[in-house]
Amino acid sequence: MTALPAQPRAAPPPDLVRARLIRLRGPLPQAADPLRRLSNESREALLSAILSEIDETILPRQIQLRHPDGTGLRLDVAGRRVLALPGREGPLPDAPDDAARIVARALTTHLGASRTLGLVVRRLDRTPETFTGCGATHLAIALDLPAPADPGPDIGTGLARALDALSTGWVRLASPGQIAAQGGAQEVARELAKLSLHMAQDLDPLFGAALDGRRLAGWLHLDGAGADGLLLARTGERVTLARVTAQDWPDLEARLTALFGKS
Amino acid sequence: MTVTETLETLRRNLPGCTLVAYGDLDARLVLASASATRHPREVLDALCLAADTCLCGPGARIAARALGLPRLTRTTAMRDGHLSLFLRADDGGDALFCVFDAPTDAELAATRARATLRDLARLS
Repeated sequence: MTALPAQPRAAPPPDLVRARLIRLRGPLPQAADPLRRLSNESREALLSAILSEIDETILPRQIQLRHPDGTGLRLDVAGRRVLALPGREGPLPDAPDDAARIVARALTTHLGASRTLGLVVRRLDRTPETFTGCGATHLAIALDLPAPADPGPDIGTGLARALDALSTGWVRLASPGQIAAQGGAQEVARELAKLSLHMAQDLDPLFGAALDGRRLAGWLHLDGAGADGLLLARTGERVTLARVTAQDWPDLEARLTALFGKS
Repeated sequence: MTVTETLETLRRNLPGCTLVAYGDLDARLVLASASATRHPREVLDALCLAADTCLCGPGARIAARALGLPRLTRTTAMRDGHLSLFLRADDGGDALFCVFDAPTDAELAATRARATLRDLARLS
């Protein structure tokens, strides 16, 4: 087969090229901080929100806590554990109880009497030096607070919690085409409801069944390069469908792997 | 380096990866594979069929349309507790399948596997 001749394309006007070159010389625009503001909360509620954030962070992230007086406290977190307090204290001790006492002290000092807090979670742009640190349970003991709820062995509950954190939407089907529950943006949920019938029927058999006929739990995430994706998950007799942004997917994938994985 | 050696190099560079296969989805055929242990042909055929359903089947076409994509090029799957990655070339039927038996960084794995798929698609 012979190659087709290349189609001639009009060159962009010189002014546009010059403007583009000038733009490229400057720093790339930064995405706005996804700031979560907690206000008019009790000290316990603020600390519990921080512990929940730590407990739900699997991939390496930096959690920044912003006090209304302008000061900040940074926590390097991965694998649901605080690994370091950058710019403070030095490395955390290996013993989780000791590490938790240091982190708890930093948190209570940072909060002071404030009832307002800004919370920003960013990707950690370096590999953590340690994976020891302390988890939310150790921190809860050090802070004299109840530990964050354990999702336990119920995959469906864990899946619902993971999907509630999405910026888009999801639907859970009671049977093909019949919605049992939904969450997130209404218009996305409506779109998923329309999709659910044919898409779920074609892809659901891929999860297979156990020898006793019980449907096996699992999930599929379908996407194109760098685009939003669709998640299809089976738990027991229920199928869940969710739209997931490319930005949300790495965190969600890690949570789903922890929920559904055997190892 | 042969295709099988290329696949084996990729497999060794993907933590927790037990199997890498290179296939043609149009022909629904695995062309070459590298694995920690030998797999019967039926296993490879089933893997290729699953990839075809996920990336090219009616459900996949509905999903692509809903996402505004000309076609799906990646599926990450957790089935029976095992993670699989199915990648399709941006055009044509070439595809790469990876199976893992331990938790892995699926994004990193997809980036590395995609580069290998591009190399193989250029060669064949």
